[in-house]
Amino acid sequence: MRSVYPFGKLGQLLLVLYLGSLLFSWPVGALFGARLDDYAGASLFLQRLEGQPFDPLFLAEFLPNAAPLKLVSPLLPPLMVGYFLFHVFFAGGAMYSLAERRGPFWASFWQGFMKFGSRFLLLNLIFLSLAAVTVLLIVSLFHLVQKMAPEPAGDMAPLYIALLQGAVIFTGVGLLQSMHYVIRARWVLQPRPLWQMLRVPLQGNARFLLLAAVKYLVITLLGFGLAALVIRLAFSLTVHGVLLLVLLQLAVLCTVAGRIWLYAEFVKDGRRQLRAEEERMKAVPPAANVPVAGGGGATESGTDAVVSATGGAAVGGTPAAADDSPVESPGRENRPEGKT
Amino acid sequence: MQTVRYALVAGLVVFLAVGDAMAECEPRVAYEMTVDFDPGDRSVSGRQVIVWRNYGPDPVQTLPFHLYMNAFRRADSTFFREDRTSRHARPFEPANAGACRLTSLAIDGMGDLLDRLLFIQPDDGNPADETVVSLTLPRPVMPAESITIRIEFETVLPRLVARAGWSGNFFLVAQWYPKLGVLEPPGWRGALLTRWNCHQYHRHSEFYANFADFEVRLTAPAEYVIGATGREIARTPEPEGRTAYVFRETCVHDFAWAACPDFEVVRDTFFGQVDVTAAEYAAWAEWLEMKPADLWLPDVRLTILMHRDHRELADLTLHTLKQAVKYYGLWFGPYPYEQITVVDPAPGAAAAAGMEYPTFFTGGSHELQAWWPFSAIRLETVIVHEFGHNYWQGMVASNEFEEPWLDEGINTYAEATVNRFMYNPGGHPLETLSLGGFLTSRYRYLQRQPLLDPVNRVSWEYFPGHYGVNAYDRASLLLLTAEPLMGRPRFYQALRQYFRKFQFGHPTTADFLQHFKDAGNETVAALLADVILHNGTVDFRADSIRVTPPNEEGRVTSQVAVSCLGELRLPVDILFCFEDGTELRETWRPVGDRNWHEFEFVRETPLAAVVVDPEYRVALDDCFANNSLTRRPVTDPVDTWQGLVQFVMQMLLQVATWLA
Repeated sequence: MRSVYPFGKLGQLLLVLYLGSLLFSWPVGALFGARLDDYAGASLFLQRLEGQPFDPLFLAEFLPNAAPLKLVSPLLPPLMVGYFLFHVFFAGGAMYSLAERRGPFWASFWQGFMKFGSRFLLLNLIFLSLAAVTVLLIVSLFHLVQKMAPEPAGDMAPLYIALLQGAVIFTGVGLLQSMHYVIRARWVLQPRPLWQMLRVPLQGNARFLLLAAVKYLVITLLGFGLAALVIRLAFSLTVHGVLLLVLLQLAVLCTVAGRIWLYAEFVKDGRRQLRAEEERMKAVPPAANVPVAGGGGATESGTDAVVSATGGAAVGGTPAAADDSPVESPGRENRPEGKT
Repeated sequence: MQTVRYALVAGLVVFLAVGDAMAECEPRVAYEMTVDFDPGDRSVSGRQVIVWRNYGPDPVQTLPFHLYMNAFRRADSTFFREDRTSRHARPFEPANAGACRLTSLAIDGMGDLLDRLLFIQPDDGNPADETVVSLTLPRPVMPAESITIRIEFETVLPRLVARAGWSGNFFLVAQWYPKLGVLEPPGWRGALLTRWNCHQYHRHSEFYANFADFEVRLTAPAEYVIGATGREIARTPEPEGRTAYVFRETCVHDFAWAACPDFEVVRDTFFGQVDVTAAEYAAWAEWLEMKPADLWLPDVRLTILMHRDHRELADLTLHTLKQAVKYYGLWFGPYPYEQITVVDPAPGAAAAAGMEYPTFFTGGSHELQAWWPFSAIRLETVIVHEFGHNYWQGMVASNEFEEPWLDEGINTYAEATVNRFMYNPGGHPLETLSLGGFLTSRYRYLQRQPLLDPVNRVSWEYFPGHYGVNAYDRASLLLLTAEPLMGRPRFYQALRQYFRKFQFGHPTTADFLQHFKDAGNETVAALLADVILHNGTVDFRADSIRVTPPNEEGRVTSQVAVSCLGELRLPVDILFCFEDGTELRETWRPVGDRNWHEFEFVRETPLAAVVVDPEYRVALDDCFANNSLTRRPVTDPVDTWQGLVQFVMQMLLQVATWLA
């Protein structure tokens, strides 16, 4: 069976996200390099690094003074926030362009970037608050249990407890995030007001939600795991220079690729869900005041939006009526609900 | 100058005459204690008999005692007050407080004197501190007169906050009994008049006491495994499932013990004729300019109380202990006691780890140490360091309150050097990295810059957070810097002679400095004084390389400027590397107020690089990165690090977007 998403589209998105990561990290590296060059570039001391990228003597000398690090470390928080925002907006563009099958790819990406980026951000802030409350609850619960518990039973007990706490937090937040991604995917497929979208994860079946959460967690862990593996290799193999940098970039690329794949999977799953709903709707006669197609209004059934977002997929055998405005069609959700 | 030279020669003669002579031990006090340990109440109660002789020339009217567990009795004790100034302040838990209470006190011939006790605070006047109590006698104790003090006391152990206390079923019982202060007659440690030296319990210091004889009869539940200072000379079953132990030791300044039912006992013996090879005796004899027979080490019984969760680390602990007994013995002199006991604190009792008491100390292992990357955190460092305290502070019993560097600094240097003997005998000291040692010291030294105190200070008067770096790390680096200036064998000899001279004594910083002055090396003596007393610093730098175009003969002139910031005036090697591969080495020493020097070379090839102190011998140098200079920048390492930083940044960004 032919893939719904050609590799080229995913590849291009991957490239953009990776370049985005470089765009935000490169200036820091360059600034650090320039400062390091001023600090000790003409020093033989730095040559000890050859073959020993993590030379402890160098670290001992360098970290306490850390003049180059001190220069770049203030840049870290704004850059992280900047990349976070870029990432959210990119997700808008990526998911929308993956959902939209007509028109030029990058045009739909840009439209999604502009239109859904801000909506995703709003959604993200809501879920971040939920995540914060979840983390707080989990931490409080663990704290309470620890206070009630007797003396630690062994060296490893605190570590196991910390790992368990981390796993619970990670799973909880991952589940929330997957719900968040479900909403995102549905939103680009079937645009509706935010408050309606928030109900989407609750309306879907639990199996789908859990599967989505697992995929999200696996991808995230894979990314972190790969990075850890490469760092471990860098420590043990004394790999250095270009090879080390290439290995490290591969790890970053894998993380980024996983993310893009995840977007595609969620959109695909969202479409599948919508199709299932659509099948169910076929069995129910349409209400008199609900337009079947081409009315241009947002509807509870979502059929109209599915037509536009899937680019001509038939609804009950009728060709899509939104062909005259293929790119704009998902944007019709802005109209007040119930008005045609 | 001639006079100075004669003085130096005279000093050297005196120094050599002192030779390898060892001071005799003269116990000033005897403790006999009979106590019951109740793990349920976490208490130790019993009675003690102290026999004390006035060894000063003056009558003594008062007797001060340490009641150190009272440091954990109140939130505003001096210990907790000082602790709150740190970033890692520990909370006071009233429900788990400690205490040391006297229920009776009498002196033979003077009657019951309990009502005459008064808490005093000689260090900070903090009225909430009850760690020192003073007894005013009804009549003075005359010179050479002995008195017998009979005390009944109860000590409640605190939940482990620092050093002593309990965690679960593990108990480290230290500073637990009423202990007499030290009488300092005129001439002792610079005293002009007879005085008592009895400090409060501080966050960073707890040691200074007379050498004493101890006999302790301890009764504990039979399921508890007990380890203590000294030799176990009897063990008998008692009614109600208890066991009585008797421990005895002579000429030690403290007595501590530990108890836990989860200890597994590992015993072995260090054999002086087996664990040290003839070649090692011969090598050390050559270094120290002694006969091998004079270095022979006696056998020592080794006992390790290993918590069962860490049993897989017992062999490593034992091996390390043997190495420590060997190298400290060869270097400074034989370990004179028959027994050494190592206690491995239970999980959750990290606050008790790495504590030193005479013939008894705690290690500090963790199950994770069997695994990468935690295996890099070597327990050997702690074992060697704490064993070393049997020498530095255990036998050379300097005052840890007033001159903490004298034991912590010298011992950190000795520990790092012994680690070098053990693991990296031919390597550069700074390369003995994963063992802690000098690199850790150097890291902390640089991290705390600028340092606002000289090395020597009263332990609670350092700039906040700077106690450790001065008392341990900077002092250690100072001795490492002095080592090559004097020549390593001569330096080792001088330190050995200092140890032998003040073994079972209470030397001061002045004694240490005088000893090295007598050793005849003016530079070393000045360096030690400048850093220990005056906060001297040094930073050698390679400043510039200028090369002129070739002259008519085709020769180029290379001019190199080097400089030295700071107060220390040390000679330093400079390595000049030319483009044709030839190297030239010169020694430079800043003189007077001129802190820089320019070298000029007219040769056929220009200079490629200059390295000041190429072997990193000046371990106190504030920055090694500026010690060298190449005429043309070397970009590869910078690129590597730039790439790494970029990658780390990328990964941080990816982590941040986990929630995006």
